[in-house]
Amino acid sequence: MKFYVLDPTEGPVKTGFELAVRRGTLDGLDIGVIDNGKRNSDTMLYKIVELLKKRFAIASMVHLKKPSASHGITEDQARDLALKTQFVIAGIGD
Amino acid sequence: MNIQLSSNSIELESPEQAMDYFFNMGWTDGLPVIPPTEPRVRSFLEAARLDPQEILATIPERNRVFSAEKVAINAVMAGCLPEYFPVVVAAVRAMGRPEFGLHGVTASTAGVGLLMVINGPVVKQIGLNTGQNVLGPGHRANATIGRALRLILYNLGGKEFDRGTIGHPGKYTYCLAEDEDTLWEPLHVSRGLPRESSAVTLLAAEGPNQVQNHSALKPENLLNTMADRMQALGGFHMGGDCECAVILCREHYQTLISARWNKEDVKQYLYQQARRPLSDLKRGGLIETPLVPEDDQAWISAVSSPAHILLIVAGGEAGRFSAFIPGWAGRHMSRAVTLPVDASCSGDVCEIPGFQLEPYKLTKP
Repeated sequence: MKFYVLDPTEGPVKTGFELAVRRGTLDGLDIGVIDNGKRNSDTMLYKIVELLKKRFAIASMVHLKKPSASHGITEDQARDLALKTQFVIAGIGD
Repeated sequence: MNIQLSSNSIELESPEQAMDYFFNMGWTDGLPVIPPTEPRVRSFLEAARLDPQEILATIPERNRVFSAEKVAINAVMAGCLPEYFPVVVAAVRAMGRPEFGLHGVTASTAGVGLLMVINGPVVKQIGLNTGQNVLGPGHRANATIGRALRLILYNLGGKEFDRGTIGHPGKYTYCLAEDEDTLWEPLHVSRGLPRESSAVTLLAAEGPNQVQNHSALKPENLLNTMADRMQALGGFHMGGDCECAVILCREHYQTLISARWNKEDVKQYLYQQARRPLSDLKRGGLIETPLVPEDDQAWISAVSSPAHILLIVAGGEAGRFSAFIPGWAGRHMSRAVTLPVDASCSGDVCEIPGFQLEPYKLTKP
């Protein structure tokens, strides 16, 4: 006689998002930087931007500092970044 | 109730094989689990009068949702009884509140656990322990309700997110009930709920720091020992702004009540005493900038308000051992949440008759 049990797991909800178009270069782009507010997150991200600026003619940088590493950015913040930038780097510090 | 379950059914040979299978699949906390059969899961959903598809909590940062059915499956696995399930449900709703910051709490290298304090009539109804060995083993309700949360987090929230460097044993289970047989106001009442309600309070917490004082008969001396532990270097309380829990044993409670101290007196005193100068943090290696004379007068408090101390009485009748339980990170990342056991929640709003929790708004500290 068989014994039946239920699967306890659930993966992430599949959302209908699509990958953004990949750009071959960052030349002329405005880039966004999201840091999670922890110590040195901004230091690390600025260093990355510095390195990118040596390789590409980046037009501008928008920096968004989250008040909490436990929470994502808000819809408004995401929309604002999407309006002002074409490429975003999100990073952590600890 | 007509309960339609939608989880995949797994065909196995026996309950013993099921326990091994679940372990091999990585679905356990390392301990054997109770196989979640359909009848068992149904009984839990009936006990809490829940539709299987009702969403009890989410982790938006991970696109994770916790349905009542899946939560029930994991509560069965933990060894809960059906009558415990409403408490588990309340705890899951609490952890899903935005202000709890579940994503960070459960991913952090700090490896904190979810401390659960239960209040109200449900404590006696389901046999939760408030006394001897209150944070130790031996009571099914305490052991399994706390365990259910961890299984839920691993199987529904994503085990791979838990990056705890060391962790602590409270991540297996971390559930106790307050001893309300005192002259003091119970925790859930101080947090806004009616005394007659049953409630769960959840705090992201490090392991318990036992604090002994067998000699002090004056409240101040007793609490100075506790304050000393609260201001230890190497915790988030020095330099952060986090909440914490303090468990006072019965003997320490007797010392305080004999001097007519109430909970507010205790919390106020601890708030004032648990602090140290910035120079200590520099000498102690927490901060590597040079010492300056002003540092001796720049005070760093363990908590920014007496209200951020969750103070309860619990533990055995004998023994002058209390506990300080440090919180995590800071109140901008996570705050303790108290919910009634029979709360009805929709989105950010939970209601019980006559009470409504305000929707949470994320604001800068």
